Amino acid sequence: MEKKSDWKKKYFGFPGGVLIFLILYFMPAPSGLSLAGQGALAAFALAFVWWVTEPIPNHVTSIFLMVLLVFLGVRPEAEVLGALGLGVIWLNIAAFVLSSVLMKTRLAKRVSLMIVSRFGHSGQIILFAFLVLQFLLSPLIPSSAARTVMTLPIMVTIAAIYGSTAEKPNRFGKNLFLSNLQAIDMSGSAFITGSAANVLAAAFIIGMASHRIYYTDWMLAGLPVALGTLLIAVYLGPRLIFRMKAEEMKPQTAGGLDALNAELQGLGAVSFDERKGAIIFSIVLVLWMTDRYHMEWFGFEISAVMAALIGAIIALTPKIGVLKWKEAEIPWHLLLFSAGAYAGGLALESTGAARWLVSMLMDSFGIKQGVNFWVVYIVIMAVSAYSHVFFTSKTMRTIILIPLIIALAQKLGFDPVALALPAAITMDWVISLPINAKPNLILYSAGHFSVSENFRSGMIVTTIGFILLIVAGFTIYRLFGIVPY
Amino acid sequence: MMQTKIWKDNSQGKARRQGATASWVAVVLVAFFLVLGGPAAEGGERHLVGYGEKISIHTNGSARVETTVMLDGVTDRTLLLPLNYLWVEQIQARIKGTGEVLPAAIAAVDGIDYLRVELSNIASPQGGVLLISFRDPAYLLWKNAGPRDHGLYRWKSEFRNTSPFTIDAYEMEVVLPKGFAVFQIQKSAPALRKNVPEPPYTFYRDQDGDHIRIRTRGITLGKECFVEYTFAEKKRSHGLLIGGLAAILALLYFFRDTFKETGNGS
Repeated sequence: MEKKSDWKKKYFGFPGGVLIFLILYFMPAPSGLSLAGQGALAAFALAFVWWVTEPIPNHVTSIFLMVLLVFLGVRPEAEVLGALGLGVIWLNIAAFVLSSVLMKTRLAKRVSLMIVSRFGHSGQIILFAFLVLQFLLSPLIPSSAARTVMTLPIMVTIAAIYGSTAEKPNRFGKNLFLSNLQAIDMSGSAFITGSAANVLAAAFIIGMASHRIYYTDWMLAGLPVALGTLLIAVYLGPRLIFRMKAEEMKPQTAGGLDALNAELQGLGAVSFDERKGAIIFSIVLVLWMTDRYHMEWFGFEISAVMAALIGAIIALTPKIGVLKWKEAEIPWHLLLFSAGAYAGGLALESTGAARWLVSMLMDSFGIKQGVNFWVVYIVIMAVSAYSHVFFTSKTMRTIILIPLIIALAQKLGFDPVALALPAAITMDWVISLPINAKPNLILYSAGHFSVSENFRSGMIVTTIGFILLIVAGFTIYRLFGIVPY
Repeated sequence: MMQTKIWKDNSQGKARRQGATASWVAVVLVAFFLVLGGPAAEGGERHLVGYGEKISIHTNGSARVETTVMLDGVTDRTLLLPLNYLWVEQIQARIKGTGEVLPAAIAAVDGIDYLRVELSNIASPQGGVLLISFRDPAYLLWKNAGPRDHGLYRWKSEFRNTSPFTIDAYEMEVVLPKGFAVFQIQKSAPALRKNVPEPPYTFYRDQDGDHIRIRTRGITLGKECFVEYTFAEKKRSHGLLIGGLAAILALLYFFRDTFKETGNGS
């Protein structure tokens, strides 16, 4: 039986979504927003309410959203249905095949037990250990999706040790998966090579503002804020966001740590299948880490998706691999959720609704000539940090926002770097909805948190980041010469 | 003021479809003409620094076209401007500010139609702004436009430079018929590019109706600027509204016990 508050949420969420849809769809379309954009916004708002309140399963909501987009004529049927063939869906499939390899061969269990036996005295330390791991991987592997696929099996196994499974997730699982989601996305903002969007933003600053951005410039701006935000988030997670009792912070396996140590010993020597699993994973990892050399080596680039699929093919090949198709645990219903959510997000972008929303936000703050720099700074940081909710692509948000910010700074007579560089840092803060980035979709598919939990946690951490960005603006950014005194 | 009414073709739909082909033929002929060193090629490459068109479409399909030409650097006494409309009437031309009225008419040169404006009456055309207006009685052919799926109409507004001038800055503004709104921009030249922050077109709404504006630079001979759009009636279907409200009531009624008892949907 559900809690009363959950029942109410679902009961009113159902008609509430329809009501919001009707209001948005039938109100006179504002200037600058096309009828298709208005339809996309209304449909997405309905789906958003349903994803958060979950009156029906989320994947059914996603399918409904796809149907609605077609019925309203917002996007063509082929395009909407084509979302199921997007790279992110295939990456999800490959990720779960690779994850199944590591689970079946018990390699993930061995690595997890090693981590737990080393750091596992408390769940809090485990969370910090993952944070360090993500920050170490971030400058090495530019693809956040690849970092997710790589660490997912370890997360799943450790969550299980702490009593959290996809069928019955607990608060440790929510903290673990959501803090990893935030760490994977936000650690990318610490380094210019942390994501393709960073490189693009730097290119805009160089091209439009004629200001060179060095690796260290970016790191000085991005690392303190990202690290500070995530440290606070990991600390606050079990205490405030998904409050855990002391006993929940310990392994739930019978016998506690001693039993886990014994279990690790019990695994014995590394098996042949484990070695095969490690080799398959290493091949994928090497391909991910060497993507910039692929052109030279092969004459073409192997994308993160293709590299993962190569790993999946090897894993599923009889005799060579270690997995049978039926052993691959692929959550198809969650892939359907991802496809529908992506179709909705893409509709917002392609109809110009997302662009219109951002412009409206900027205009509503009434930024005009002669306004104080810090007012503009705070408004720009707020818009750039929170606008991720409306986008499915960091790159698209960067393309829309960064040139707009540079142009605005030039118009108002401010140094464009002072606004564009801190704003560019927030482009990787895509942490509030599963559709905001590929890692979010992959981690959501693991089943340890809901859309509403993702949104709540994401908004809190974005706010922490936003506050730190303001504090940094008044302190260290002045010291580093990023913003004027 | 010179008033002209010219009907060039009665087979409306067919003629409109043939417009693009005719434009290409015109371009080839003009290019050939220029190569031969005809009158249009005199003085080497010439520029019009600014050229704007506002096409206000009425519900009967006719359109009022207001053209603005910046005359900076223009020394010609007779101006031959591109003409991208198949039916033109009520041509008027004047100089902005002074209000001087100029003779204007359709002129065919080697089989290509131009809008010819005589500037010889004014002391110096340089620096002035030429305003030309005319009416196209059948600009939007409703039966060709739609309605298609979802009650949408689709139309293309285009400009091709058939004149010997390079147009440095060009802007086209289309005002949709009253009661209709932009549904979506389907195609444009210049095209929307993913790596360019601002789309080449914008749309906005005021008391005159829904406006689509597209801008481009450097339109040389034969180059075009166009915007292809879908539009629909502003009023939405009441069926959806009634259905939606009915769905809300039905959901509140039929699901009042379901979640409580079964925990469905988790």
